[in-house]
Amino acid sequence: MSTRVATPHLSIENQVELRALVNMLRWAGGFTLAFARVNHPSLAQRLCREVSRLLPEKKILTVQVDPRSEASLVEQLRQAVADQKSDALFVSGVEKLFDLAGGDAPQVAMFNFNRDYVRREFPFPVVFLAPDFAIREFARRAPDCWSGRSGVYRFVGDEQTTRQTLHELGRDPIWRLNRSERLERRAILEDLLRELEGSADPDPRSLAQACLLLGVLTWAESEWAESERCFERALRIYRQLGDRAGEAHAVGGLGEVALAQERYQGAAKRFEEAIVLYQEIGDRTGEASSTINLGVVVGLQRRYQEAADRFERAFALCREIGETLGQAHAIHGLGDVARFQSRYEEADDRYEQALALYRQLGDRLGEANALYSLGEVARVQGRYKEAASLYEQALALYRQVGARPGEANALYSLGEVARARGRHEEAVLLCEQALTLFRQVGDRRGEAGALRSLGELARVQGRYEEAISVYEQALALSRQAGDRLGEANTIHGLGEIARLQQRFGEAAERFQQALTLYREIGHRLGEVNAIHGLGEIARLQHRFEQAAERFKEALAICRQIRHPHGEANALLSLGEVARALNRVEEAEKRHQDALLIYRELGDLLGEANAIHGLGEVARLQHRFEQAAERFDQALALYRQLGDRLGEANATWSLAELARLQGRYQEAANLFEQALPIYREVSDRRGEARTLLGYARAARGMGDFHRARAAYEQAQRVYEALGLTQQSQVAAEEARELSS
Amino acid sequence: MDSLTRFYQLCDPLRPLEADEEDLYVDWQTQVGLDDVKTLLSNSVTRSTGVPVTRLFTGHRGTGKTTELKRVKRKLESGETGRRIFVSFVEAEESLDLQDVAAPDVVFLMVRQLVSDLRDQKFEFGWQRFTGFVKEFVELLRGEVQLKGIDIGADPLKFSVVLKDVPRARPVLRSLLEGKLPTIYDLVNGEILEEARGFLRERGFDDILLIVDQLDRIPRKVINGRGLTNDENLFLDHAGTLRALRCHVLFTIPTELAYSLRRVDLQNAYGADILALPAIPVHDRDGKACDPGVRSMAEVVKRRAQKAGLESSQVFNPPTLLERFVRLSGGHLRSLFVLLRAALDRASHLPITEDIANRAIRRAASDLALPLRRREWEALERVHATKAPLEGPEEAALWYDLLCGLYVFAYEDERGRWYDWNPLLGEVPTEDRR
Repeated sequence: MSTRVATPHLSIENQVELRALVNMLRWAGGFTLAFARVNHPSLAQRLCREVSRLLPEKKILTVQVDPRSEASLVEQLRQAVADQKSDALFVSGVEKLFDLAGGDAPQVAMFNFNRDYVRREFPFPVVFLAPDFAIREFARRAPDCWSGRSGVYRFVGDEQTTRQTLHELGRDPIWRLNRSERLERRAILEDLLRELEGSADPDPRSLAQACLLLGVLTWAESEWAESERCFERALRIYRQLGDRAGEAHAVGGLGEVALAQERYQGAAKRFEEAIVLYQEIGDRTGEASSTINLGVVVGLQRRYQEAADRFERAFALCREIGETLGQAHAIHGLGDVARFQSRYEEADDRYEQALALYRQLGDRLGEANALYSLGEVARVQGRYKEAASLYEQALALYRQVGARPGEANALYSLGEVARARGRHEEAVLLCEQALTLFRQVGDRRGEAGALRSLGELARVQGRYEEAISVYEQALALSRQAGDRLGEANTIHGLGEIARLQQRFGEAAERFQQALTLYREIGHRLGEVNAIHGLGEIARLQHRFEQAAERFKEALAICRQIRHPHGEANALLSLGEVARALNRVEEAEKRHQDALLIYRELGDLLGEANAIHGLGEVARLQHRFEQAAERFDQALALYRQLGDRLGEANATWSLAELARLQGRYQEAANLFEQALPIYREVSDRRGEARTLLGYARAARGMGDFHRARAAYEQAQRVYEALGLTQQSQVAAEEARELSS
Repeated sequence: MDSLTRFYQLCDPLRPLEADEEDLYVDWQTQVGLDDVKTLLSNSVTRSTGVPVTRLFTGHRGTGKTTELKRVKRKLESGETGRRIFVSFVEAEESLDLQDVAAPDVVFLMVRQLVSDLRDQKFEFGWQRFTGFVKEFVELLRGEVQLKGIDIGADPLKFSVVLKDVPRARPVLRSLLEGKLPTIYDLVNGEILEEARGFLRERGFDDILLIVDQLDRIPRKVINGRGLTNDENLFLDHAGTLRALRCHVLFTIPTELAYSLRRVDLQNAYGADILALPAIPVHDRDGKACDPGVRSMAEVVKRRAQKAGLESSQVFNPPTLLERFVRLSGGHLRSLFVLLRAALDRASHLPITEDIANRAIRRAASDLALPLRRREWEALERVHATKAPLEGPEEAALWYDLLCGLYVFAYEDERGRWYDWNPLLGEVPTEDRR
């Protein structure tokens, strides 16, 4: 019995496989399970037609599996067969039932179990047409079924088919796919590549395109090395082919990978290369996209004007060609530039504009990024509730899209907000979540940042040893990753701890180290912080003139780089020094100047701090009513912000004020209010000085019993913090009670 | 139907033999000189003195376990072994969702099947207590809020349908069942089994055996944070429940459990070693061909060819090809049939030639290796070199996967149990072993 397979359009390989498949269909009696490996959807359809043509006497039914249907796989097959008499069933789409992002494939597992039932219901061959990876998954998840397979027939695509399949695979922009879909496409592409490489004469264009697509997919999974390999391979082939467009895409891809790895110089070069290539072939979309990328890189290198120029150019280009998504990206970029330069209102405007465009286009990743950026602005201005809400919106979208780096960043920022609001447990939780994700994604910079946050949280709670340990982990990580900024930031953090532990010498050393690093990398903000830190040390050591000098230095730099935030902070510190030196007029002026800037920036936290400081100044001048007014104002602001620490501090100040004015009961009440808040935010110094204040108030009221108890508690907390001097003060005052 | 088609259909990897297909059955165990599992099983049942025996039975999927069990049933019911035993055969998959099986489900199923089979024998006894209990139970169920809207029916046979098809009803049904288990046992052990034995004795049966097949298909799942798996939970933690019926029982258990680190615990829990249907030994530990085994397997194919009206030489040219297929199957019947079909597909007409055989083997090897990655290959090469299982607890999941996927087979010789990789894997070129 011979079968003349006269199919002019199928390759020889495919004809051989087809004949084998047809043989099976002819001879098999009863339920038979077979697999046709087809990596190309169009080819699958052709095969069904060919088989029907070759076996006209057989009734062959085809079924397309619907992954969203409530009906089980078996049910769907049964419904397809219904009451018809069939001789074979061809099933497509089973690959959609596998969730490569790690989920189970319950449908397939069920198929595995209902085997006897299946044999009875389908007493004919059932052929699954699926790509390689799906057959592999089937073998893994339905081993019983698989072991009873009657054949695996492998069909390969020809040049045209392959091109078509690649076209389909590359059609959806990457951000529109969720993680499972991305992994599925990656699996298919890898199978396709293997198919191409296994063939005698692979079409170079298809090879290059497959590499390009694979480069994008692996980039989306943060697999930088693999992504780079794919793009480089694509580049080589496109160059050989003299295909400039493909070359430009590959170069652009390499730029993206470099950018993700923070190799800014390399990235900038690639994007510049890509721009030239796109211009040569007159591809303005590509030109715009590379221009935007270049703007991003340059912005990260803090060349702000240049970055703005690039974004403007890209925007203009996109406008001309009616490319809305590019416009959105360009506007977002301009928002970033404004934000980096502390032009917050402008930043907000731009981000809102971009957000609207992203929403219009249904670009969920862009939407998430815009929301995240708006959150960043809100956070820097102390609008914490708003910031949290924005970050949460962004987080939800990042999760939907499966963008893990974005998810990690959003969690991290939510942690920062929680920390700023004094919600420590929440902050720790969020930070740890971010840390896990950063590790999964291989983002060492993010990992170090998250560790630093955890260190700071430990620090604020007085767990200094733990904080140091965590910081040192972060430091090692930053050094490994060659992240000098992270290194500097961490050293600065260690300096902060040393300061809190009154190890001033070491603290000054750390700040100096950090300062040197910041200067080396040209990070002026960091420079300002380090100088500030040195100023604080001087102040704590009562070297007030030196402290003032440092703060003036910081102020000057902030004015130079036009960083109003830092300017205000420096003014505030100068105000504190002036207070310490009892130069009340100067103190008042400094605080007022700072307040002005904070108000301009819309920085409510800064405003609250400045007003609080003004309250202190008033107190110094014995203008108690004004002081109380100011403390009340500050308190209201802190409450509005949900800043518990600030609230505690302002309450404490009001308490002290009352105590100094002899209103002991009022003072005691206020101290009682402040104490639980300090405990809530785990600020042990605040706790200690509140207990001390309460003790004093109690003493003032003649309630020596309570006073003694409070002195003892205060003593213990100061001891625990290693602040022996203060502890002794408490002890002495307690002793005086007895005398 | 022409011979080729007939032969093709007889080499169906998915169809176990019926007990009456004498012409196709090859008793390879006696031929190879191993202890015949059927005899072992039957003996342990017939030689038991009053104390009910519970045995565990395992074997790779596709080795012919169900065929053997059906022959055990026949052997015992025919009285070949000296005593006639009444055998109830339960196919677990029909009534249970194997992804979610608990001990009460199994017991319930056993009771149901027994009752049904006894009724078929026209066993009428005072059903009053039983029906009374059933009625009570049904009322209890009907009263359960969570079961509202589910048709329980008064027929205990219907419960199992609910158990299988209505997952959300399971927790409630199970907890009710568990609560009633002591009563069920009392009823069954005390009344039904007593009377049934008497009734059956009058018909020449000495005792009762329940065979529960298809529990070996339970897929392994980790069910709590400490790594406890569902199969361990069922067969080990609930051994007491499974053994509470006062009659002989034979359970099939998954090979992965039987060959895991817990096998000693299983032997202790059931008071006897686990009976296994090993793969037919077609080569020994040193890799040399084992002639009796090869001959037996070849016999399997020859008989089917004969039934299709073909001589072996008409199917294989040269005839040594059959031995080659047999050796590459590793002694696993289903694998042999998969190989044969792959060759037949590509042959288009008989005989199968060397060329076709080569292509089919290469292809089959590649298909088998599809899901394998570096880690699995490394482990497989190790098993092949040492003929020993993976013993480390950190490799337990990997070992499970290898057994499950039929990448390793278990054999027995006079020295005991040994393991080897699926010989087809040796046909995969080294550079493809990624």
